[in-house]
Amino acid sequence: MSHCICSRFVRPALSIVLIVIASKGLDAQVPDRISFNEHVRPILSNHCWSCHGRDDHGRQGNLRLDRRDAALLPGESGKVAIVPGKPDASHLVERILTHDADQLMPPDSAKRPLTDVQKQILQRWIEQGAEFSEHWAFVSPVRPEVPAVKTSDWATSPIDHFILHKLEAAGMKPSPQASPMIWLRRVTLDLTGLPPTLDEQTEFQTLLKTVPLAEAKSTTVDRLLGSSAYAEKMAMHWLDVARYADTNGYNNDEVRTMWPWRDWVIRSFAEGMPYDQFITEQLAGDLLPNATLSQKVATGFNRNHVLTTEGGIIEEEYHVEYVADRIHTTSTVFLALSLQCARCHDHKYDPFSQRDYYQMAAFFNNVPDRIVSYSQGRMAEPLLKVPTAEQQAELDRLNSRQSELENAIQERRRMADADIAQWEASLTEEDLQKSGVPGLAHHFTLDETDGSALERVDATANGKVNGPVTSVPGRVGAALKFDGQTYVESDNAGRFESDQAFSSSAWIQLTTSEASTILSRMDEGNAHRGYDVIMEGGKVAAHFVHHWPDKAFKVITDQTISQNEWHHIAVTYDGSRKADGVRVYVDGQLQKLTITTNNTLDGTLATEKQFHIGRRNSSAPFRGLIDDVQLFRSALSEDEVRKLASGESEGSLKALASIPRADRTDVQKQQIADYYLNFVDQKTRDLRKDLAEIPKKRSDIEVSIPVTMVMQEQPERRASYILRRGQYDQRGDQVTASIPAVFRELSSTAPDATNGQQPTRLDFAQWLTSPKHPLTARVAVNRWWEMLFGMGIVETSEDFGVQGALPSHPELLDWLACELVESGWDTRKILREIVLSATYGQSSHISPEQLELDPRNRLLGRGARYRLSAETVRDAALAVSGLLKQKVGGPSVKPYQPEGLWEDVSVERRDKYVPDDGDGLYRRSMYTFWKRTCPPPTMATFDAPDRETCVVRRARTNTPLQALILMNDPTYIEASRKLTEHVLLAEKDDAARWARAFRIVVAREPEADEIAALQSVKAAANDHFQKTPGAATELLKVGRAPADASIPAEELASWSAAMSVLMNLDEAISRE
Amino acid sequence: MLARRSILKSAVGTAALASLLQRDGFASTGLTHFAPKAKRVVYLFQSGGPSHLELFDEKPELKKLHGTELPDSIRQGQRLTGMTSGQSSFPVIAPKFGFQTFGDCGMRLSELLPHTGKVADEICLIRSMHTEAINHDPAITLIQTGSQQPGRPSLGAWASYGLGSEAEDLPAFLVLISHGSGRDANQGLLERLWGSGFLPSSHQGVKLRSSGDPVLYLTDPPGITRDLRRHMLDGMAQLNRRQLQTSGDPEIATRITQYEMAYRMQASVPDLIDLAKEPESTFQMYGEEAKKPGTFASNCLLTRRLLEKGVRFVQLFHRGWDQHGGLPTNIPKQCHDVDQPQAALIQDLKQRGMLEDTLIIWGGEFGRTVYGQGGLQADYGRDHHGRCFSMWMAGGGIKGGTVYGQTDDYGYNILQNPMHIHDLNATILHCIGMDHERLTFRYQGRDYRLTDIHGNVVQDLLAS
Repeated sequence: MSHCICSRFVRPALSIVLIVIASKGLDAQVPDRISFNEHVRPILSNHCWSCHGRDDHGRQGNLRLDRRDAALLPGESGKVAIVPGKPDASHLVERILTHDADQLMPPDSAKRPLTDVQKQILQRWIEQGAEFSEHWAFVSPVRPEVPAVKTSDWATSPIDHFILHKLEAAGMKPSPQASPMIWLRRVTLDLTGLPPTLDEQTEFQTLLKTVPLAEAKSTTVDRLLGSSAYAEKMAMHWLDVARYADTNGYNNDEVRTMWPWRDWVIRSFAEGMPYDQFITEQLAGDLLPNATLSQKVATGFNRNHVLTTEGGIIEEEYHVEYVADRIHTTSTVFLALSLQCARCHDHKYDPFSQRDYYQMAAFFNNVPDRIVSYSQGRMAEPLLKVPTAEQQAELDRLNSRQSELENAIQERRRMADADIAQWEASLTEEDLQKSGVPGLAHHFTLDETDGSALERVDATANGKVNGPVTSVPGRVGAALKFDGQTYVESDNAGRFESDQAFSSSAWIQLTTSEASTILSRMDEGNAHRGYDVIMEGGKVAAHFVHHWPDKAFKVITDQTISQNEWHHIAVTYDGSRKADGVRVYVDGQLQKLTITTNNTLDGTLATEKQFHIGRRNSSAPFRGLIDDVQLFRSALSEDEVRKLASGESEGSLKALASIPRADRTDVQKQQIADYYLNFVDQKTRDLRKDLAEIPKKRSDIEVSIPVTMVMQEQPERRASYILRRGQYDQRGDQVTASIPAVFRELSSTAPDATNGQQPTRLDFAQWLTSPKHPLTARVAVNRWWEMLFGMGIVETSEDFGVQGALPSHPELLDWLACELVESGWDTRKILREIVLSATYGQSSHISPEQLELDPRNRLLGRGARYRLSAETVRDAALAVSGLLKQKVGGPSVKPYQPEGLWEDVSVERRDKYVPDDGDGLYRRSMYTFWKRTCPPPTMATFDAPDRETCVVRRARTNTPLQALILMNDPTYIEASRKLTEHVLLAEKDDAARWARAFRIVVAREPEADEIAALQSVKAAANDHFQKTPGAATELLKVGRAPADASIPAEELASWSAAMSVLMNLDEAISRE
Repeated sequence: MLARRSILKSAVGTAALASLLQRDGFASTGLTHFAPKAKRVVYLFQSGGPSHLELFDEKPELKKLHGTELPDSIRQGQRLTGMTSGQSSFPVIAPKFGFQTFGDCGMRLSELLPHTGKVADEICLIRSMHTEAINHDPAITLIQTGSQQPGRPSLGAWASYGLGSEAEDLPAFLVLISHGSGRDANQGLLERLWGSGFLPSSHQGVKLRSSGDPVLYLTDPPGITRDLRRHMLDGMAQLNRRQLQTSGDPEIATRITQYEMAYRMQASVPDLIDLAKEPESTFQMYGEEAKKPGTFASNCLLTRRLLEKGVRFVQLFHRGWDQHGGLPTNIPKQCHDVDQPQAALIQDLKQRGMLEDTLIIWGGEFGRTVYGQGGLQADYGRDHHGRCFSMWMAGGGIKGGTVYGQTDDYGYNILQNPMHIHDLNATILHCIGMDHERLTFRYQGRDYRLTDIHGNVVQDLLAS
């Protein structure tokens, strides 16, 4: 069980701000006017609240310092901590200043002493009245006035006023605008994750000649925001926060299918879906009125968490973990709050109680989370099939074809009376002797000795014998011997449905009391879906299962049968979905049954596993002999079974025919007609043959239909409890769904229990997206700001709580948040506003003065410059080389990866990475298959998170392992060669070639000395390749894209080496 | 790093410089809180959960108890894994293997570990480890990251973050994996076991592999020689420096140094893994298996070479200890894999004067049950057991030749000196000079520790 730490101990953070001011006098470091939120709260929160905060359990000395009313009351000692206006009378001041180590606060043991400046701040704050204010992030934003600025000709957006206002106050000036081409590369990388192509650069330059710069930029931004690459880039960021992956994580780490959700994200950005709808559909799309397939798929957001399938795991423990992950992700991503800290106890800093936590959990715990297998891997319910448009069309076609055929069969039946009469008249005694039972669907006599298992009624159901074939004299003709290895399989036999009557019968001779399957069509891996007839301890049992055990039933006879003797076993089922509808006969005698599992067969019986005689799909093999297996599309009557068992079955048609036509009952007439149509009438048989092919075709499609995890409420709402210390088995009070109390106090739109109905995820989403919500819009615009400047207005974009960073520009944050809401949550409008601002357009060059005054660029007096993200580094290389395959969405792909990585870590070394051939090698990196226990190695090295938990903000490191990848990964070797081929063929002159390469890679013209440097590398390379036979060819073989044979190998290789230098430049992998 | 230092120094001072540089490259300054006993750590992790009953925790009573039902008074109704919770009977199984006395200290160890026995006087054997996890993934994640659930940095990442790096051309934290010969039914390993969690990703463990590139992407592509690579890097540095002049971004200076470090690694790593220069006596000590790349023996030898180069934390994983069945057949093979090389590593470090400041840890994620999985069988198996298991430590800061903790006659419950995984991790950090309560990293408003809110340094294990 994880415990959150909310530690009482903190290593003093190395804050640059503190170090800068450390050189000034103490007094100069204490602001004249103290702001509670800016100056006091961080001190109280870091140094005091873990013992004197809102957590009732850990509170010391009965002193609360998180609320003004409480702090002004006498504590346990009888003394008053804070007397407004009177620091000298305030006990708090005495205790922080004392030299008595026993009295000093915070105590030494807490290992978080106050600095002198902090002590001064607290005193001055009390002197000025000790006012508290609400944490900024919990108060709804109010649209601020756009501030006036002194420099009048700089701003192009209200955003710039906020930035300039602060710069001017700090005595700084903004930087000049970056060149248009640098701006173009920057904005293209930021909004699409790809560098601008040569065509796009030319188009922009042409535009610049005809329209003003502002208009050219605006046109460009509109083009970018309308591109599918933009949608992919936005989705790419979302994959981290939504911890998207293609496997389950944890020990077994099987494949899952969540890419339909990933494609939903891309689509929603491409369509410009408003951000409030983007949130609502992901949290509660399934609960929207008349929810579409797409809206249901969106809820996969809350199913992307890791899943364990490890043997022996305790399910409830992990259900609790999954819900915890949903809370963690939802509160981090939408609220930027660490609500997960309230799982084990009240939050130490932010106003959330443990009750709040479990009330919120109650919104997200109402799914089964039950692990099931599907065609490719394992996932947890609820699942949803997501056919593509083509698949749906094909299914529709098959459905209508099926109706046609069924109608034709009916039609034939209506018109067949005369034919039946004629046929009956023509029947000979011999015919009657040979005939079978009406309603017979399949008949395996098991008389063959060659490994085939012919089906006498319907040739499409012919099967074969797997394992040793030993034919022995049987009860009727020959029988097949089953030794634990042998079994019969057939694709098309025994396709019965839950609501269909059907029966089965067989002759068996048993040699064991172990579980022995007579016949089955069952998928054990998918919660045992299907049916079987199985001997258990000598008793006949039958399972009928949609999902074991809750949508399934099982019956078993009370009597055992003898071993090593022939017995006739028959099981009939009436299609009622109930155990009551089953009869079991042994040697024609109706048996007394015990129903051991008695649930409604609520759902399909159909499975794509084969029909088997002699075992389930993969378990419980039969030991002994089996003969004459028959399946019927009806529930046989007791009389019919008795006849089968007594060997009189061949007489059934004979018996019917012997009844004078006028004396026949309707059922008997029907039986005669069925016999004729099913076994004699060629027209019907042809129609049936066509009809029989449809399930196979349909199932071929259905198997390939992606199945994805979604949210879907269980009919009975799962009870929610406060869990003591967060432990799954330590239940406390029962709770109902509700948002945290602090927001109920602040907001009038809070969902709450009304009319005894608990609020739903949809209520939660509607609260989250209400226009006055204090966090949702701020958190969103801050994350986009981070995407465009490398750092958010609130640096801790994942934490807006009291321990998080304060916004550098609070008014700007609020202005953007209000803009977002008032624009109808138009994401693109906000992005457009930001990238067209003068702030965004500044040059990123850093002057020594700037580095001294604002080393981290918090005031944004210059443009941001930083390395591209892991995905973009690779995508840019693929793009500039022309290798990139721009296809949107679909199953994840497997580009180059060193051998053996999956085997190193996977259970039993069973997983093997096989790179794709063709397009899969060159798709955008967001489509790379993400295996959680072994993520794509180059992604992790460039700081991509492991996708096991929600991560909002990536680190940005600079390591030699990154250099090794860019130098040696075949991806980059191949890319440098392909780019080389392009420039060599496009230009004749070396200078022109380099100019073209620079434009493609860094969107600028090279200087002469840059060309000279690269030419020098090329000359050295040429020297080497000329001298070393075969070396050039070796290099050119790297990567699967063939080398252009028209270029001499040595020339291509030496250019490629120099091109690799250009592509490795810091500038090439940075946005400037 | 020099260019960047000179740019930054004037502006932000040395302390801030350290914090800015920490996330880059391999070089970083340490954060130790007091003088460390050990400068380096070797973790010989035995994945799957080796049986303490066969190897470390001798229970003579079990001979008599063999085949009897585990009493409820011992089992105390605590939770079992779903693999044996359905068993109707829990017969006690006596280990098939005997114990012997080793060393001056008289330590009792399995007859399957004769070489390890020879270094018993260096070892502190802990017989009272415990964990609340009962399945592999949560248990191994807990012992390696201090939490059963994903998302936290690994022990090695914390050590790298806290210790910084001495090696100029190697990462601070390296990972070596070997596959046990006991049986290939290995439990999975997970990248997160050497991941950096929310610490900067430069602290994540780097795998040193036995096939393909020893470090991923280390080798130049075919056709490119060292000479040509040098030319390429010179050209690159020239252009990067030019860009540094123009843009003034200190990251570019760092980039230049990272490429140089990569270049040096390309030479140093192949040299490091080339065991050909080791004298024959080395292989007599580590065993012939050490000549086969990818074996535990070879990894032990590599470990010594890595430590000599200044690597701070070497994490070995030896797979194949998950013996739910066939334990008597397979555990001798697993022991054979590890016994001689791990003893050799200790001896080798000792003779080089490095053992005194190298901490060595040996153990798995849990122990195994005294009762048989699937009942009483000749080639019996044991299920996961977290209530007690054994580990051992040696080297820097550790009191050798001692045994800590005691379990009951069934090897089922701890009678004396329980030591939780958080205590182990607190003690490991202590040995390398770090206060586990002060080694924190703030993430999402919380100051995270390896030991969460738990853990006590176990002073009894420490040499005075």
